[in-house]
Amino acid sequence: MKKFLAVLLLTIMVVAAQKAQAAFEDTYWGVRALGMGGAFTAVVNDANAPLYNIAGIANCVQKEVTLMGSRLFAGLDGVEIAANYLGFVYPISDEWGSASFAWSSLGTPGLARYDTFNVGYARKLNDITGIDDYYVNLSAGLNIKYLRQEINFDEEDKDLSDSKGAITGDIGILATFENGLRLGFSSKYLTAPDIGYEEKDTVSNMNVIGIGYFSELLPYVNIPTFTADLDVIFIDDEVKFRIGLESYILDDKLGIRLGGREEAFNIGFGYEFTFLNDSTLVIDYAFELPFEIEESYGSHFIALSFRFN
Amino acid sequence: MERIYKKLSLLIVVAIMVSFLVVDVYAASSEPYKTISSVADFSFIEPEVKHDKIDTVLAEGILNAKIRVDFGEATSAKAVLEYKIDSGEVKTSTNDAVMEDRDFYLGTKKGEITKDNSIVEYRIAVTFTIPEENNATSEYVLYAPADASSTTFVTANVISKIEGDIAAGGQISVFCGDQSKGDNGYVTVSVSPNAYDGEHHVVVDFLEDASSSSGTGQERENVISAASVDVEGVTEINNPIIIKNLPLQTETEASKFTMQYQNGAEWETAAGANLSVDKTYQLYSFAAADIGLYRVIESISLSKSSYRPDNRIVVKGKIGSNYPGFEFKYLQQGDSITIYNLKGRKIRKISADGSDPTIWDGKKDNGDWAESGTYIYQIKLKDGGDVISGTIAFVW
Repeated sequence: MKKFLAVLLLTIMVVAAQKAQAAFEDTYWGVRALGMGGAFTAVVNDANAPLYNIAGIANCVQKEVTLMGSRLFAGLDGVEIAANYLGFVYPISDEWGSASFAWSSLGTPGLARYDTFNVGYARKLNDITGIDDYYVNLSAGLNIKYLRQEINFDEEDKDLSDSKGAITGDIGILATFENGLRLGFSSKYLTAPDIGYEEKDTVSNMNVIGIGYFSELLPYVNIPTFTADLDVIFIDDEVKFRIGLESYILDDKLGIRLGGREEAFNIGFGYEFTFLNDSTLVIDYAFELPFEIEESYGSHFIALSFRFN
Repeated sequence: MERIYKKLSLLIVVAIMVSFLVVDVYAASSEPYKTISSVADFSFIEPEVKHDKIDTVLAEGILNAKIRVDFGEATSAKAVLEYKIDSGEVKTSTNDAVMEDRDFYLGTKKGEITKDNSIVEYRIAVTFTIPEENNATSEYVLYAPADASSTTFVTANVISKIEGDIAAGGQISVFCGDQSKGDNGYVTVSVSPNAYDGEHHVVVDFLEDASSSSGTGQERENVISAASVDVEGVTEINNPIIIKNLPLQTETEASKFTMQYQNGAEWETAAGANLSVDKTYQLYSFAAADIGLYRVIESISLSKSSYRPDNRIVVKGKIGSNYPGFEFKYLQQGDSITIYNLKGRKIRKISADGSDPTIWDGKKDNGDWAESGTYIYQIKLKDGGDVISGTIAFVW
């Protein structure tokens, strides 16, 4: 355990904070995660993991594909922003780990679009480290990602190319303890790549520490299948926080979520339909209400996921 | 007795003849100044009064009184500038008119101003001789100011400065009107005697059309101002005021313009101003209740799209004088723009100051550059109505 924490702190220290491109931050994708205010780094166990903590795909026991659509800041006349996400996780075996592919996109028609393509791999580390998985389940992963921004320049800026891209990567570590404690660490955009058109425009390296807790039945208040997560985000010179809660009711079929971050408040729910062949169809919805933007009905996210053997 | 009678008769004849001689009224006549208050007072063979314009400019310590009289049939003219500086003694400056073609140019009068921010009081008397139908001539004196009820000086105060200590400002324009239309004549600016009582210095200040050269500017502004704008003041401008010689478009109607009044904090529409437009002379006129700061704005039918920036993408490295940033149009003082990032956080609020366009230069409230990315703007108009939103991209 001490070794794990030491590695965690060392990794944070080595990866220096750098300056700034905001469009690729993980604020817009993953409906279950968004229902929890984006606090997901220590929770990750589904097809949203490639965005939040790649190590989480090692805990997926079934293949899973998820497709998300959204409408951001609905109600604002003249504002049409959409975020889309496609994620796929393929657990190979305990020995070979899990692989993933994900695509996320954020765009405004006729103006700008930001895409990220992720190819990830993660594996449980207990057999390598010799740590007994009865006490802690330890996993780590690596995400290789290609970032691309496309700007529909006006005539006077046509001297600039339409798109810019760069390759970078994420690493993630996840530890789930027998007592319900969950610790996650994800360092994203490790190389702080430059995707500027005229000037240096780096996508900031972002380090996230997630502290979570899971309980089959939360003591004293008897909340079933309870999950909580607090993400602490270090980006540039700032420290940000996200917090999220989740509980599954109705025989673990209906998930109810609540969360928030500095700029917005989130709620969400998801319902799971299980079929005879042990496959599961999940419908998730999340709503985000920004605190500062006026006259918006909030952002709406919906996803359809399918888990199968 | 007969000789005496003949001598007396000769003397009478000579006296009668002398009475018909033309003399310079201002210089030689003991008659008081004759103030002409309307075109109807003239008896021209061809009463072709175009305009009288008397300009004064305070600049570089020199008071210039440049006078032009467009009386096609006048035969001679003379101008006298009387002025006082800082309530000192009255000084005069006189010269004859120079006739060019059909116009008389009465030249430039100069009076020295010894210090900056001097208060210059002046009046100008223009004496000109005009032939009558019977080949006789008549003499007329035009005053500026020419308010028949006022024999006082107009105070032209220094209201602004340019290039350090050089003072500028203070113009007076007098419009003659269109006789064929029955317009009242000379006095289009008149000032009550108490208008220059030391606290309410009257300044009629004609500004250039700031937007005419751009071809697309929609706001045309001219100002009548008081040096010490006292919106609560009791001074009144009694007559309609010609505020601008604007380059009017072909389609020009009063309904297309709005007269606004500076209330001390912002521009507000002046109710009951009865703005009228004279296409022939390309002049706007309105009746103003108080001395103050006024402007005329071309009324434009604005939709939400009118306010949105045409340039939705700005490249940081190109920002400069010819590429200032995102340009939001038609915003008035009191309107505001707020910029949010896509996480929903406000990064900049800009209050429009009345200049057009209102610019977002890509910086946050703290002065740092905004990150590259897509942003949401929200425009709030002070007059209420919907919030106008949209997206823009700032690119590094």
